[in-house]
Amino acid sequence: MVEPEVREPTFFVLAALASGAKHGYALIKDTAELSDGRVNLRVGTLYAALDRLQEQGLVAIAGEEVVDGRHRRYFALTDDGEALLEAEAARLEANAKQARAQLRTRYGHARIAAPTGAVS
Amino acid sequence: MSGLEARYREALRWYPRSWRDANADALVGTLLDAAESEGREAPNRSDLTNLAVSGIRTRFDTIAGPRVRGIVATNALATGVAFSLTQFFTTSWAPLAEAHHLGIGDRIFGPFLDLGPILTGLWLLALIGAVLHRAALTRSASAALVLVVVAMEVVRNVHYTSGSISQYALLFNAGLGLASLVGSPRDRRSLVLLLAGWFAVFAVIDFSNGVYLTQASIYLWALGPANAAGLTMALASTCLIAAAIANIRQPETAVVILLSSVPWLLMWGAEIVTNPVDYFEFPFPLYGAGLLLVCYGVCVALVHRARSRNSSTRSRP
Repeated sequence: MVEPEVREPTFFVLAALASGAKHGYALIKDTAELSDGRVNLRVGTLYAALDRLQEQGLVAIAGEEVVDGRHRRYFALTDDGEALLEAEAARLEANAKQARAQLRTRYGHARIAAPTGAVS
Repeated sequence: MSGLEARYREALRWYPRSWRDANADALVGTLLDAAESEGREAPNRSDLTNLAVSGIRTRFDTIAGPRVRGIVATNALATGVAFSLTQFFTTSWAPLAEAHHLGIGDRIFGPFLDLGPILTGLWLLALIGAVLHRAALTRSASAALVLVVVAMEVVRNVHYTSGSISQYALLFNAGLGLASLVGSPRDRRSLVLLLAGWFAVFAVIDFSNGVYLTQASIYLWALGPANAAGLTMALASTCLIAAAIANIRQPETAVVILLSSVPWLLMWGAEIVTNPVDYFEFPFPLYGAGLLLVCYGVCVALVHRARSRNSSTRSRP
């Protein structure tokens, strides 16, 4: 079976958990920060994603506490989650490498074509 | 409890109760953290909308999550392709039907004896979409198949010809088409295995007693009036297997089995309704309906119980 591509919000949730267990609001802040503000998760969306990631065995509940009368549940990356994040990061790096190689080729062609082109 | 917390808890009614029992405190805690950081004392509209959408989606997922829906769709696609292709080679395509010494009726179009090849074409398109991971192609072909089946049923009622497809075969195709729409059948290996499994079943039946070739209809094999009792027992047994699986706390597998049986159940229902018998002299359909109702009821109850147990175990830190 071909592994489905990891969507950007999921990727950043996993990436945020890579540095340690986090509670819901910390995850929202970290995903926004790691994505330069591109991923702004709403709370309902975050918990839907965490449900799905738990079902896939990529994330697990790491503990709960009550702070100032407010319930906080901590989530952590599992070994499978870490492996998926690692694989996805490698895939993105390989993609970026290919794109840069293609761009270098394009710049190379442009340099060769420039002297003989109509525009000079 | 603050006014803000009460408003958030009220908004969580969109979620199923079992989900709320396990997750409401954590979710409300996060909502309150977010509101505090933004200096808000009332929920904003986008949060409430997001909770409504997420809650409804969770309700759907509670019945059957994406993974379960994907497996159901894969089963339906493989079953539809296998039945349709077999029907095509044994009944719809005249040269092969002649080779099997079947009674040949009028050719409806080209070398075809009925409208089945239209369905076969759509099933194959859906299969190609699944194999190439073109979900849009699979969805479009399956949706077109359901619409074509509805059109065929309307035409069949208005103007019955020898090329019309029986109501139970149409309903079976519609059921499978709808089931293939509930998820994304992306698992190519499962598709191949299921297709191979169905063709092996057909081959075994053919070699053992030649049922489907001599009767020229695998649908008749699956559900002729003579086989209604057999299918009732098969559905009841399937249900009990699903119930046993749910009882060992594997509710998702049980749901896959239950949902995958729905097209067969539809075909069974169509047969019972369209071929009325004297229920006083031959009360089997009534007993059968009662038996299936009990079996499905027990199974759904066990799935619900297994899910509640699993959910309470999972939410424990």
